[in-house]
Amino acid sequence: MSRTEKERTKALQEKFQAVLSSLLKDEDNKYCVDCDAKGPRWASWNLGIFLCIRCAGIHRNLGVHISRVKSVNLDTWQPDQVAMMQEVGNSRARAAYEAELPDNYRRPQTDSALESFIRAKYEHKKYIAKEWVPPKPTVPKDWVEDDKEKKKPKSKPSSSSIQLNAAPRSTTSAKVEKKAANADSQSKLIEKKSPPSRPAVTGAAADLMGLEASNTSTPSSNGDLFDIFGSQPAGQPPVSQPAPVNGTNVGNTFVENTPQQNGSTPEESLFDDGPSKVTEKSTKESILALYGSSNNQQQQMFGVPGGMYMPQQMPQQNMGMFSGGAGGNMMGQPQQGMPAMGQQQQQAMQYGNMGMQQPNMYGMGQMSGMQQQPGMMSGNQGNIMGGNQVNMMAGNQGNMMQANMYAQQQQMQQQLQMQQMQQQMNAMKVGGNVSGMAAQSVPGGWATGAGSGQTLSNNLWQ
Amino acid sequence: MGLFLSKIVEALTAFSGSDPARILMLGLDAAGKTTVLYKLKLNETVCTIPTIGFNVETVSPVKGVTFTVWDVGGQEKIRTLWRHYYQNAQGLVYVVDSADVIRMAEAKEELHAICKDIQMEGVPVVIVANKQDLPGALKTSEIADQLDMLSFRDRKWYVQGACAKTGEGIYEAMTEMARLTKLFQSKR
Repeated sequence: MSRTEKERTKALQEKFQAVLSSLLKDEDNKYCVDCDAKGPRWASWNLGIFLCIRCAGIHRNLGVHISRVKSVNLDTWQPDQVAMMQEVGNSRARAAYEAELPDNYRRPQTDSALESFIRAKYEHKKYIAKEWVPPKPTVPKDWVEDDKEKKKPKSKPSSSSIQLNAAPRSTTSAKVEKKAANADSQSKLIEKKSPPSRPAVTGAAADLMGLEASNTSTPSSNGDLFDIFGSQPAGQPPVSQPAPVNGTNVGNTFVENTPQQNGSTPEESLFDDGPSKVTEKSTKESILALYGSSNNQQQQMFGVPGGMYMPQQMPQQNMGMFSGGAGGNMMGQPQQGMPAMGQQQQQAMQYGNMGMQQPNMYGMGQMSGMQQQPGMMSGNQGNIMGGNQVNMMAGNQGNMMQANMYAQQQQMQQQLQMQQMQQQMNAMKVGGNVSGMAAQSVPGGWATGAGSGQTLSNNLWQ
Repeated sequence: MGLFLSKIVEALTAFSGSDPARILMLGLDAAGKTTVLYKLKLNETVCTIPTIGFNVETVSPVKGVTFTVWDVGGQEKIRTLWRHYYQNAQGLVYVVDSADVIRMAEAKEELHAICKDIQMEGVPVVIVANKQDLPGALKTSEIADQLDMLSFRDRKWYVQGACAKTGEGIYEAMTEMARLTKLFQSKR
């Protein structure tokens, strides 16, 4: 696949992610369609419903001829699949598949009862509305067209193309906002017509903006950084690679648009900071400061990767730290993972899997949400030592990525990290032995920073 | 007498043995990896949720065979993590959903990507053609065909039809895995 093609698919994926997250903001999609659990992050795209992870597991048991399960965040989506989600959604699906369900029906909560309910509902279609015909959604044209538009300017990565790129992107955001506002067909009509340069940004488009934020800061530090990113296909989830939109223009576009944002001040400030020219030195300092300052648990948790997390949580406060340079790049990535993080936290609560694990989770960092999930989930599958190990491995990977990221600017730190990495690598060789890893639950992972991280990772592997 | 003693020593070393072989279990999401693992481990059909991260269990599916099986989540975006488990793998169990015909090409891509990795060089592959009980499930020969198994020349492979829910086929797959890992180890 050529680079431009990759970029195209990436942009599309971002768009779909934005659409899906806006769909999840719909009141009915805030709860699992089958068990009412809060904050579903999974979906059955052929049925057009949003599910919790537990019901997702049950749906997968039904077989692909009945339900096709996908993760909102951990899978890539096709246009028709997203269109289906848009077309149906939880409220419509309930109207259809639960038409004959008694009003006073109490949804089962135990696994086996839930499974029989779900089977009755979708496999035997016990409660289905007789007139229900699964819709055949039409994929909005612009999901493809937009793409072609983008393709042209991307072929030459000059500064003039940057602005061209920025325009269709904000269209996406506009769309998202529209959808969030009125979730029925009317919005689709408007969408199709929406002019390419409609300026609006919503919270729902956080992912997109995160990426752009990372790009805005790229030129202020070192152009090569971008290449480093680009040449890391495996270590990074595909979506979080920055698209070639950069330069201060983008940043300005968004800043100008801020009045239209809905309570998304963190992003706003991101963009404010992005384009400001920060010198290499100050970047370094700010990052080191970030490492150094992690004393309380909160900051530890968010340590390095937290660089990306905090801006959202604590707007304005820490911005200086992350502006420009590598810091900016980091910021872009994790935002991609944000929804997943939220989910993890929830799951952590749900499964009583808090405290120790969580710091590790964030400690692993860099790879965005999905990497952080492993620790969590394997933990909640009763596999605590597994959980720890994933954390370690992931941490290890984080190291590599970081080392790469800072490569240009942060010689010292890189060395530190290399040391760490080697240690972990060595330990990993030992690591075939499961019991050796069992006893580890050092909070904080190595997110606590380069200095202390080393000792921590030692601890981890002892 | 000497022969007798050496036989005893051999038997003992085989029994206490070296570490159990490290087996990787990969495959697309919802293929049934976790179900296979826990069927092997507990002989129970557990109610699973999508694996984010991994499960690892030491299993003895067949007498005299012990595996440490690593079952790693298969969601698209966490497949990038697979490569971190490649090191020292002595066998790959690749689980496919035989009924998911439209994603068979994707399964093929991922399988070949795994096998291209230098760390997986020569590692034997057992394909578990899972969910044979579902309507429209492809037969093992069709799966071997669609996964382009014939293009693997530098490694042993085997395709086993299975239904993890009932346990059909998974012990056979593991027996085959044991045989292939032994061959692989002796070659090293």
